[in-house]
Amino acid sequence: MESNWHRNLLEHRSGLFAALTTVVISIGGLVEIAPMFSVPLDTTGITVPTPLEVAGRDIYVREGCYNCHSQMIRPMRAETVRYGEWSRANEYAYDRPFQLGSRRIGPDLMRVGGKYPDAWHYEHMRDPRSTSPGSIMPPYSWLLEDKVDVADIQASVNALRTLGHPYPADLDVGASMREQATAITGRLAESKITVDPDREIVAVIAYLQNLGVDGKKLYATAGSQ
Amino acid sequence: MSPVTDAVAQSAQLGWVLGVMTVAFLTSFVGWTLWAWWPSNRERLDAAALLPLEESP
Amino acid sequence: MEAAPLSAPRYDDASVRRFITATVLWGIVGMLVGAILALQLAWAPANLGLPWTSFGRLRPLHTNAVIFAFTGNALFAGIYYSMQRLLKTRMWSDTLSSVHFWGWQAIIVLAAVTLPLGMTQGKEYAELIWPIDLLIAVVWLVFAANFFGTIAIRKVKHLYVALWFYMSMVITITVLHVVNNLALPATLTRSYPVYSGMTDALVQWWYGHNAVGFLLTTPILGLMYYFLPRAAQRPVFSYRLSIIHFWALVFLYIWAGPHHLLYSALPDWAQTVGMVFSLMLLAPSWGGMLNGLLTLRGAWDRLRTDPILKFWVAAITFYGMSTFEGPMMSIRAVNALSHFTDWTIAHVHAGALGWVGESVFAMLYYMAPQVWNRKLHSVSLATTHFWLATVGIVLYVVAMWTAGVTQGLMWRAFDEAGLLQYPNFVDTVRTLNPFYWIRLLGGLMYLGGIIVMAWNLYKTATSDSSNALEA
Repeated sequence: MESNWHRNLLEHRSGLFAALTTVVISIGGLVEIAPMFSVPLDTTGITVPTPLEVAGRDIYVREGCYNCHSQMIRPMRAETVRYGEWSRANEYAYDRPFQLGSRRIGPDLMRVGGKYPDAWHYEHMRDPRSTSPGSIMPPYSWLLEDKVDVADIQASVNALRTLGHPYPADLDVGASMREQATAITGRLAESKITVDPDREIVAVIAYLQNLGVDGKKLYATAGSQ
Repeated sequence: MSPVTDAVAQSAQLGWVLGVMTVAFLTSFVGWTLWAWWPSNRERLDAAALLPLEESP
Repeated sequence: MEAAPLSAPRYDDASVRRFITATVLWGIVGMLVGAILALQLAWAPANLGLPWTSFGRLRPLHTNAVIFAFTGNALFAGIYYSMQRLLKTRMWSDTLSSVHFWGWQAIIVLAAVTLPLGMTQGKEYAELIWPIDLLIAVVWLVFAANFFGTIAIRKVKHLYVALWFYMSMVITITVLHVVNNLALPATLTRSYPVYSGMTDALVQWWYGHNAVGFLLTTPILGLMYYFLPRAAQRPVFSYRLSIIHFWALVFLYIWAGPHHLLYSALPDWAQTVGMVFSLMLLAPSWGGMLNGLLTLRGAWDRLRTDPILKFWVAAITFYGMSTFEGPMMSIRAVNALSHFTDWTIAHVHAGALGWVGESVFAMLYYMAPQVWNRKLHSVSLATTHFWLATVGIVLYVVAMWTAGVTQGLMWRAFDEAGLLQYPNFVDTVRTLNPFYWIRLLGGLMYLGGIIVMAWNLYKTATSDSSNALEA
């Protein structure tokens, strides 16, 4: 067999072949992803989610809301008129995991914060068709019963702090949650809805009502909306 | 994040690096194609195509 | 079937039989959950008001079951079968083969339990929680060790191109899985990714796109390069083309992830790079498609009688169609309409049901008689399966195309006063209802086809020795 160095190199040396494959499949990812770490993100005006909002977000992720709802408003008139100011990168700074979504079976939620009263969300979660006739969203009535566990959220806050979310060292997770939750249940009571502050629905409302609020303040311009 | 990603990040933003990369990738593609169609390799590769048919099932 | 299958006891076909069985069973489960989801979208009460049956929790179960359980097991069956024959050696370690099989099934069972319970990482196709991710890494490395071990003891020097494709899967999936799942655990069932926001999104879609690339595309192309020549009884049209499009495909594929994030807050240059590479991807993809179809030249007459060839032709045609559609959807202007709509759902199902599913069926109908050493119980049932599957896909895809374009146009429609024509989102949802019923019908036909196949293969495997391939 006449010896061909290139033949030996590629076809007969599986280790080398594997190494070459590794290099070839790594280039694209490196070139695209690495620069993301060197782009400075201006987080001025972007608030860190409170413990109650973290709890609500965990529930949002748990229920797989991202399977039907996006959090990404594209810079097009049809989108900004329907949903509000288009999404900027720094607004997602504290999104772990990101929840941009890929299919709008329901509407975008990027700027749902402040769009409806707390009571609307309560009723909508209990029975989506009571507030949105024709909706195909499943009811989430268990959120009205199930309780948020403070120790569980403490663990989440600790992990997020390690990852760089700037929570103050002396943050009292339980007290912070109670305070924010009581404010929400107070508003709900005004709408004749009685619910304990430790229910999951309260955390979900806290999360939803905070969605996109910072960005709206930063980026809302006259004429949009 | 790490020196490696930083270095890649910085070089990926340099026009000449991207130019060199493009030329390098294109050259390797053309080279590999020429290699495969080179008469001496041609025969061997055509023989390799028979490998799945060699064995009884 | 030209030779005696029993002449090769040196091959580990027991593993192949197990992976085939798992493929069929998980295929039924995955598609059944898909049909339930389709029903839920057509008729919301099917969510049943229970946490573990609601759409948001079941959809990850469907995608994970079809990708990792159905396709995963099918890939392993095909790879174990073909690599032993291409390298003329038994798998390196029977123990590793066994650990690989049972480990993978354990992962699937854990997924099927945890996902409906709402334990998730919240990233598409990477939903499984961190302890399961660790198990996946271990089992995958067991497979990799067995794979490279077998290559090391091979009796054929030349690595046939199918093995190149398999190898790219083994390597790339390892890299993707590790990088995308880097996370800090908060509790046993919850973790937070080390990346946040748009970086997390980019890493995720680099993963998501290439999971499609290196689990649902390249290994199946590799399998095509083994099983299609065998079914057609002729070598691949151009071996040279196959090795060239291999390198082009694996190099270009990795870059295309950002096309999932067009018009997002991802830096503009990254979006453009993603779009351009997606367009370039058309070339190596169609290289593979043409190579597959042209392999059949001179064998077209057998198409009428051989269901295996029917499945291959349909699969490769769907591959060509999806790999044309994909680049087209990566063009910004098209993506502006298609993104967030059922057009995407149509696209992935043309790929998953058409290309992946029909390739898998072709492989199973070829392999099962060989590894059980029995003639296929019924060729006409296999043909029935083919028509159920193909008509089912067409119904599904056409319904979802129509739904996608319809909804996309409704979202952007303005009236003469310059106001949104359909300001109430629900109006655009209501319009889709008939298409959702048609989609369900298509999905049920596809599921029915798999059940027919399950019965056919069961009868094949359990028939008596008078039906042996070699009398």
